[in-house]
Amino acid sequence: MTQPADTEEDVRTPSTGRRAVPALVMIALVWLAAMALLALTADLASPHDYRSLDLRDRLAPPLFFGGSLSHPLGTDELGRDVMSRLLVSIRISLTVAFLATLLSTLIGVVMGFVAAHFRGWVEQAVLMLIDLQAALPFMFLALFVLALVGNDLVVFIILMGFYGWERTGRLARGLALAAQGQTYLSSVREIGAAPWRVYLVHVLPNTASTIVVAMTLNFPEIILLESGLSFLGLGVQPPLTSLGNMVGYGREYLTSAAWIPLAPSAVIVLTTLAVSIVGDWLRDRLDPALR
Amino acid sequence: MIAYAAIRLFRAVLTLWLLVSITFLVMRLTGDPALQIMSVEAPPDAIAAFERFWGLDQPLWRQYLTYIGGLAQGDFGVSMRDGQSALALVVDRVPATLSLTVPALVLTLLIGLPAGVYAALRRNTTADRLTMMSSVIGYTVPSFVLALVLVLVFAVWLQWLPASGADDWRGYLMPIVTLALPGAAVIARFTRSAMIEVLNQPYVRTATGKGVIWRRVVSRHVLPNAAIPTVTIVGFMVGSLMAGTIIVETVFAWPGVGQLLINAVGNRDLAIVQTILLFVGICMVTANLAVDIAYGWIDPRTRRRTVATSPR
Amino acid sequence: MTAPPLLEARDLACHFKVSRPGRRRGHALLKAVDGVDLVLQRGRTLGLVGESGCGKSTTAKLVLGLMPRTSGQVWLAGEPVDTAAGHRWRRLRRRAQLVHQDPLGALDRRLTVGYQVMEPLIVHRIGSRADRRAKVLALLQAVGLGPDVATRHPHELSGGQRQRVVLARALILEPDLVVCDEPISALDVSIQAQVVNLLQDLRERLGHTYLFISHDLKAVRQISDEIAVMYLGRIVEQGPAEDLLRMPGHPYTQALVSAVPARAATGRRRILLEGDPPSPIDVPPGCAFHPRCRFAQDRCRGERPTLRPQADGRRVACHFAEAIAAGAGAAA
Repeated sequence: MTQPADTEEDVRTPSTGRRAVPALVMIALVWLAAMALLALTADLASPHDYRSLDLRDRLAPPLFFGGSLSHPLGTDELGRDVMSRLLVSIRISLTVAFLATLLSTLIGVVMGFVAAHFRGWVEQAVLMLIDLQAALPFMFLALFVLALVGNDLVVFIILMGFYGWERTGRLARGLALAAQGQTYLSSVREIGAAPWRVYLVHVLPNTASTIVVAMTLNFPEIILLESGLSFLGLGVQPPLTSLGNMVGYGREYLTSAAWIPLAPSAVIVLTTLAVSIVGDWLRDRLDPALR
Repeated sequence: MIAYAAIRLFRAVLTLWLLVSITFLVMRLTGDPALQIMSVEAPPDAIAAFERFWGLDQPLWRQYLTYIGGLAQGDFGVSMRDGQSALALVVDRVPATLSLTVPALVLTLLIGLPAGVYAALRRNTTADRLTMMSSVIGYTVPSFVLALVLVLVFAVWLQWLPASGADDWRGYLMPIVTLALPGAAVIARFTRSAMIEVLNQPYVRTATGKGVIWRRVVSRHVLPNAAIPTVTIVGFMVGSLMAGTIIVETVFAWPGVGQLLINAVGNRDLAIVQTILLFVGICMVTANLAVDIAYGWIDPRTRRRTVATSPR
Repeated sequence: MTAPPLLEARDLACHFKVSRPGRRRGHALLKAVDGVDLVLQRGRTLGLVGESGCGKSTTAKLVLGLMPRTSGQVWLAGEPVDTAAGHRWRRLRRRAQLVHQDPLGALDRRLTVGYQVMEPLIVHRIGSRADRRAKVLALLQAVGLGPDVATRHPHELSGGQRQRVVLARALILEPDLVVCDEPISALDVSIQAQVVNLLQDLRERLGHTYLFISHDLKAVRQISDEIAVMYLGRIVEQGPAEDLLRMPGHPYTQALVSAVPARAATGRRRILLEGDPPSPIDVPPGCAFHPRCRFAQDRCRGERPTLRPQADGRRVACHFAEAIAAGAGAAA
């Protein structure tokens, strides 16, 4: 945290003395930009409809392994174009992870701020929930809920949105408690501002950089969780497809048509790796206080 | 120390109670269990009889007490498929799972700790960067991808190891490695930062400055002090290992708790899912309690701090 | 005088339980403010002085209802001041404002200065968007800042400019009472005088009532009609500013006054206080000042003096106020 004495320096240095972005981070950023672009333009970029079958052209190999240009990544067991399925999967997996990260951050920030605002038994209750969530591997909780309420895409996204809320909650509570000790907040309260104004207009913008870093650390973990559950057949359900889902169904063809599970696997690995690299870099740059 | 342990124990019990209560509430509130199990068109008197049999016509608090009482006596409900005791079904699968997780935990520590120590002692060299890069890769590669790659290499191409099953010792290798690597990556990273923190402490620099042999500084001062924060992460490790078994057992067709869970979720066999959830909760709370107490024992400062701040 | 005073406080007290370092059990009672009475008429300025830690800032917060009181009552224009954040409390925030010591800390560094000056209007839903903007510009001008400042962020301003912004924010609701808590002590000496002049000027033009808290006697003298001196949570002397500073009645006030560099060599000797002020946890029995007082006698150690009116209308909490005044007169 910054001392009052050097705050002026603090605010000015990032805009003037920006260090060069490391090459690895650049590559990661380019990869993520490409993924985001593909996710947005999946419909236009796909050579085929991701659901259209071509039973005469099943298990066709990719382009440089004896395949043709019409199926650059080959076809699957039903003759569906792997490239097209991959693009749609990227869109769905990234959308699920993105929405879930937003939801998880929202839950965490609200819970953290509520705990910091009310203190007393409310805070203790929130802390108990945080402890409970932290004590239980999320996978088991997710499976319990899926067994209980069944699966559809909305339920699944909401469920993923609970992943990691406890870490954001703990962080947001700490940030809000630290902010409460600062004069600018007491000044706003002394004006007579309602709590929502204090937190939304003042605390949130002042803590946003740390919270954004926490989001970038949460995002790849949600991708991993989503793909893990989809791999098990309990996440995104057919006819929709997601990266994990493709690996799960393609795993039977590992020996005969390895491209079917390996192409989505590579995308998962590279994407989570890229987000982690960017997240670590952001954390070191913006927020050394975050572990 | 006793007061500290007692407070930790109390918190652990409280967490478990909360878990049990929330599980109960969620199960009761997400729908009428009678209607979920029987079809909606079932005759009303059949539903009524069913509800009477299971005590669902009782007020919620009484159901809750019955539920808690049942749990205390080891009654976790029966599987909807064959009416067997859920607890028995789960316990039956535990040895198979433990035969993976225990060696995996050992392997995690055997890889992660030395790698972290090594990277910290050689920090900012190429060796350090390579180790850390592999660590990042280690925990960003999902375990099902890791498992598939291992199968592809060792079972399909080299044909050294069986792709699944537990017929002989070779069947254990790939599941254990798949389980251990992500954890080892986390441990390596964590150990490295704990070590570096200690290496930067004034007392280490003083000892070095006084001419104490470096090996001695490391073994006497750095390692014990870096061990303190590292212990905390072992509790976390237990949790991710248990989560890891779900995928690993599915990929390698391993007859453990993880596979039982996936099948139960697929069949919506709630009693089994609930039993495993509570089981995992108990394991985690116990592991965290053990870590907390070990922590208080290694580092007396935590004890006092916790006692001073806890009554609130 | 039929109208109630603008601000009246009776028997204000604020005690904290503190745990003592090094001791496992047992809490000590820290008496930050211990029985303070204040009366402030509309349009007047009361200066509250004392060493740091004597309870000045706590008094400010108690008077504004920003902190729970251990005992006592406060009225603003005859209306009781709540301490709980209810509807009445929020309405009260329009009528009484606090100016903090550290202007950079008191401003949100993520928001523009213009928004922050406007924020009280938004919070209390006063005026249309255009009205608010006009009012912000008018007020910035009143505190000597140009309209271009409105779009800047706090860190782009100098310390003196920031304090002007904080003042503008405090004044935009046209409050009855402005409490300034050490408004100049975080500023450079050269800027302190400017801000004090500005305050004086604003007071004359807009007719606010001020409670001005400072340890700087010179600033307090310039701006205050009346001065109250605090020592360890109690008021030890109160009276018209000029009288009090010219002829301090309480030994503590004498020491404070003598520590101010005199404008001309008046031949007054500087009275050095021995030792640090005692901790407010271990307030000495009797007169709290006795361990450091050069006139202290047995009575001071056992009996706590009350704030008694003197012949010239001011009030002093010292058993020997009359004798000391006579002595000082004789010596001069």
